[in-house]
Amino acid sequence: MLYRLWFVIVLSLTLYVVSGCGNGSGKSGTPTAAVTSITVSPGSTTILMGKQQQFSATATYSDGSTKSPSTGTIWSSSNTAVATVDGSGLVKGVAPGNVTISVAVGSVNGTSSTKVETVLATLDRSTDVAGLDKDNNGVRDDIDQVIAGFGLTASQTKALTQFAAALQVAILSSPDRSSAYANAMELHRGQECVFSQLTADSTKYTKQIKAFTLNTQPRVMAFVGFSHNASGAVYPQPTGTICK
Amino acid sequence: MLKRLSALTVSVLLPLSPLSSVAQTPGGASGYVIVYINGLSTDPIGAQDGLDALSALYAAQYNNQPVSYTLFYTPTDGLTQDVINAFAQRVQSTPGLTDRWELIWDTLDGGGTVSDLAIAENPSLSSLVSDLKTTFLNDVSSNVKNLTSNKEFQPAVDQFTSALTTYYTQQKKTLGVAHSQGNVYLNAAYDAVKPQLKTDSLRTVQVATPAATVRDPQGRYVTSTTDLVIQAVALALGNVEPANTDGPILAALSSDTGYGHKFVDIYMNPNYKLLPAIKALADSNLQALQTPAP
Repeated sequence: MLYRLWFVIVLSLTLYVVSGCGNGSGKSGTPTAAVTSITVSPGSTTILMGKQQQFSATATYSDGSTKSPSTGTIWSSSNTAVATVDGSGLVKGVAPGNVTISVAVGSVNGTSSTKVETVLATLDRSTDVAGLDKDNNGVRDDIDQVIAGFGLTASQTKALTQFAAALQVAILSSPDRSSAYANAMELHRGQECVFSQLTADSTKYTKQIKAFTLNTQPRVMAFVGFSHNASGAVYPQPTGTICK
Repeated sequence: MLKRLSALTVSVLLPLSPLSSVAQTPGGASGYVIVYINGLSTDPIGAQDGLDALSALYAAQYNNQPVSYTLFYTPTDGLTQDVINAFAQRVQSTPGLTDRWELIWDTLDGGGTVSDLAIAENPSLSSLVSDLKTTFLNDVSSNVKNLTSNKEFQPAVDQFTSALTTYYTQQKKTLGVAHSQGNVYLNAAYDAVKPQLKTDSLRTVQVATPAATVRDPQGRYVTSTTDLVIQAVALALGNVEPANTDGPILAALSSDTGYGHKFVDIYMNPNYKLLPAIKALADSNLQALQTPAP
């Protein structure tokens, strides 16, 4: 009796699977329809470094219907150093450059050419030394974006922000030796804070923040003026509480 | 009771004394100060990186005595200004090419991250970056040659001499570590303060020196065989201490490492033979240092 019941359940399931495949709206493929092509959306886009964007795939079947392939999709990136993509089509910008994001269902491939935009293109290049700081945290808004794009922990991000703020003060308020000395000490304190959070990687990040902050001729000259006024002096290694 | 009162009095008054740390450390020694004197085209950020590299070697103690670290920041405007001028001319002569001033920092600091990002986006920038680095190498020699006649030189030496004298009066044993043009400043400050010293309380570690002489009692120093900047200075000026320690060949060929000359990226890099040579020389001199006599 139990054996007969089991047979009925298995038979019912088999019939359900065979009849249900592709069933539903008119846009769905028929049970026998094969995937003939796949398109990827968006077709072309720009992603900031460190940011993510969801991509999607649409399959066209041999009966003319279209739908999102629910299973069997394999996403890939032509250059994972530029952008990565996970199994659901979530793309993350890693570094500047061009990359092709592809999706495959069985033997059918679909591709999307995607440019990952560099942070350089978003830098503030206004003529003034200060630049835009809408949130008034002492760091230019574009530099805030650069730091956020590194994808670091909260304490590491805070340390880099302290360094960036000290650098901003140095280029804005170092008209004489006395102010430059005080600003250099704060800058060194910011460096030590970054070093305490990022150890061997610290200079990789501080060099980028410095270069992106000093990205116009007036800003470069302001930093040269600060360095000049800070020179010829003796600086003890910052001690005590170095992170604010 | 009188003895305890006396001890209490001493412990209360000692923090007020300028030599308080002397009595608080074993054997009456007030410890060490390690000084870093930066080289060419080094801004305050890069100079602090150099000091950090030294503090990573010895941390807070040596020979059971406290170690403090200090930066003597030398003026480096000349070479920086040359690179800035080269960039400004290139921007002016090539309208529309770029005004991306962030590109100059890889040239001045070593490293290629920012340039690589820009070139990835716009390959035509590679020749601009290459030109900047050539300017840097070409102008090194003239900047070293004119160093001592620069009006900034003597006031800076006076500041450093004053600091070395203070360490002496505080009875601190001092090790001066100089890189590149910092050696010219160190030699001058050393010569000014040395006659005051009654013991062997000041020693030097001279790295990549463009000078003709060093102040180590045995004439020791460390210069990489692949330091193209010092080679350029030697070719132009002649009288320079010769290279004496194997350096990295491939890294030296890359302008990203400042042509094998950068203090942190090359000389203090644990992957090369230069760091063990610097450490051995520093160890030897720290061991030999004597407490300054009052």
